Amino acid sequence: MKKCVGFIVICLLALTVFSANAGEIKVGIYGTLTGTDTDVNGMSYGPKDYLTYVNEKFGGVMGHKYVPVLLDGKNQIPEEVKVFKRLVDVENVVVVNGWSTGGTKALRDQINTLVKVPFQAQSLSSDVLDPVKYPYIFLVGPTYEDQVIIAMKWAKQKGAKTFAFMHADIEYGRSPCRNAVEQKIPDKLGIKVLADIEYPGGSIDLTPQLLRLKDLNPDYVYIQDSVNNTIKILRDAAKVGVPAAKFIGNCYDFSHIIPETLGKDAEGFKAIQINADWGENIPMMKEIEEFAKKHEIAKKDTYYTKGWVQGKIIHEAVSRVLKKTGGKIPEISQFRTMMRDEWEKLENFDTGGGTPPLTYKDHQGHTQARILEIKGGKYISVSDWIKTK
Amino acid sequence: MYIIFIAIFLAFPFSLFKYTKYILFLVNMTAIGVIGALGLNILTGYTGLISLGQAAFMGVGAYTVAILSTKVGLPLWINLPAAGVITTVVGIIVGTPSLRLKGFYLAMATLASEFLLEYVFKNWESMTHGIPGLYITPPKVFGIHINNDRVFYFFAVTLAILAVLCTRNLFRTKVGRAFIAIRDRDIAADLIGINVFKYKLVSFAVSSFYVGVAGGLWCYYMTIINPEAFQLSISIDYIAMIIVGGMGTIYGSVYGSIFVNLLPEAIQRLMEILQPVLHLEYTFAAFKQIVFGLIIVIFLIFEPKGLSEVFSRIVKRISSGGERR
Repeated sequence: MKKCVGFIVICLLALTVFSANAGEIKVGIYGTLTGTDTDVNGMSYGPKDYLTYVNEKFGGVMGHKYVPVLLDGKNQIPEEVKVFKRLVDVENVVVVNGWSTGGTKALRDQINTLVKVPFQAQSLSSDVLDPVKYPYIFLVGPTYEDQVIIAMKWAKQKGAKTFAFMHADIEYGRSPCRNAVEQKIPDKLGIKVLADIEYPGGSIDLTPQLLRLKDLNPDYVYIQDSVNNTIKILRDAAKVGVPAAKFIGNCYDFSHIIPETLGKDAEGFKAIQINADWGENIPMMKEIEEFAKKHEIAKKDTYYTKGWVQGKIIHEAVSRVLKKTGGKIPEISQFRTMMRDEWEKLENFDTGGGTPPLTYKDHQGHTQARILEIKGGKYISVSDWIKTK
Repeated sequence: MYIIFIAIFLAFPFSLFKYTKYILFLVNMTAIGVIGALGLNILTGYTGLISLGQAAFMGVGAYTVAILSTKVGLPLWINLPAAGVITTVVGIIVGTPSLRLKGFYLAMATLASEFLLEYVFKNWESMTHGIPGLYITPPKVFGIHINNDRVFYFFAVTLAILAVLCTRNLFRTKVGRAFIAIRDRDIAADLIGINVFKYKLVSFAVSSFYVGVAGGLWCYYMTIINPEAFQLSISIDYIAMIIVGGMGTIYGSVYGSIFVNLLPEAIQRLMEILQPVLHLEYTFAAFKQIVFGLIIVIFLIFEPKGLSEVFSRIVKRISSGGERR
């Protein structure tokens, strides 16, 4: 019996040690698979599935197969730091697709000076966007502050004069709203911010905050939060008599779960779209549909399509590196540096309609977004694509 | 024996030919966990006072280090003891209700301190920088930059060993024995002349010092702190550490920290290997949590005295030549 157990243990250890073969390109992904904000974690499954799709459809990249390694960062800084170390040290990944704003900030020294690994951030915080200070960090789309500008510009066109912010008492919530005010974005657009209403991230009931909002009666309310809390806001807004039409959510509020959950109470709610939705008539969706014939898709939403776009970006940068090396996989640190350089050179990269064409000189990809509104239980576009830069 | 131990300690970070950063990260986090768990064990395991404020106390230590580093520019050898001292003061204040409260009521009082301190971390912006928190540069000790896992290993593990030795000595003193007497029966302790309230506060103070140092170390290791890092779940993790490791035992804190820090990794690796057979795909991460929870429950049912009891039993069996009584 003891010999049998010993043999199994040795086999398992051998499997772990010899799991990385030559000709494999490991790509690290960590997201919140069990932590908070799992309602938008399709972003982590998207790149994994796209790289699997490339393996199956094209046999990988120049004969080399991708090995996507998806781990759970639980949306907690220590856990994300741990997972990052495993990805870059144990798995030897060539690129990391990471999650939270706090985690990305905690890791910024490691990413840019100690390890020097290209890092695709799911966070859209302007605090981690700086090609000079953080040459290895890349975003996909308008920052949270850009999105505030886009929402305010649209509201201004509709004659809005007053605004209010609502967000949770976490960095993702507070910082962008504060940054927007400090950068005098509302002042420049001639909009007065009546209040910055904060609530505990795990609140079950937001009635007190919404009663205050009702008293202030701003023309529009900007929600810097994700689906779960936004549902609570709209639910309690309906309860106290504030119409959903007053609210504009950021890009993490564009979810069909909102009208499905709230029904009529969500009518008129607006959200910002920065990439294609699930099911749109675009070439990229054909790829996803093809992949879905053989595989189960974890989350059929706009966040998954964002992740699919991110997979495309990674694949493009890797392909360009391998073209330069004649198909030979470089030594890992050289591979990471070359990938960063090629990534930065991407210009008008076509994502098959997933996003506007991407240019990475500024590490942001694009700065466009449009406003969608829930009408008859569905999101309908109510603006053209608005650019911030 | 001691020479072998020191040799292993010194050689360990250099003997890792692979996965150095990752393994050392786990060891370093475990070392920080040991110091924090020792602190909680002094309070809960040895004095019988339940605390749910562990995360907040760690936060006080971490913020002390961060503020003194960034705003005053003080070095590590001042900051880390200061983290312990400031947390001690906070611990004494929080421990004051223990004069009248015990059991679940005291737990609730410490829970209140958790929320109160979290509020302070979030809103005392001139000091804590609010929600975004504070970012510190890795410190220097004797001209050596503690900016990598290997250097930090020597620092953190040495402190963890020191903490174990100090705790062991503490319970050979009058103070330590007063803690145990209070835990076993506070009325009896009072009757034999122990100043129960004083020693309860001393227990809070000593415990908070350890926890503050652990928080300070955590801050130096992560180089960034914000209020999100010191949530109630951290307190629960530490309670799990001392329960699983063994309440009221010094080595229980060590075993508990190893268990809580390394078991999720072991499960993760095992599940990854079994993934092709299990086909869990998208439920994989949640399944891992279930397994972790299940192991703890099974453990508590079959070995409620913790890992230290298991190991002491093993040692006894080995020393008695494997004979069963």
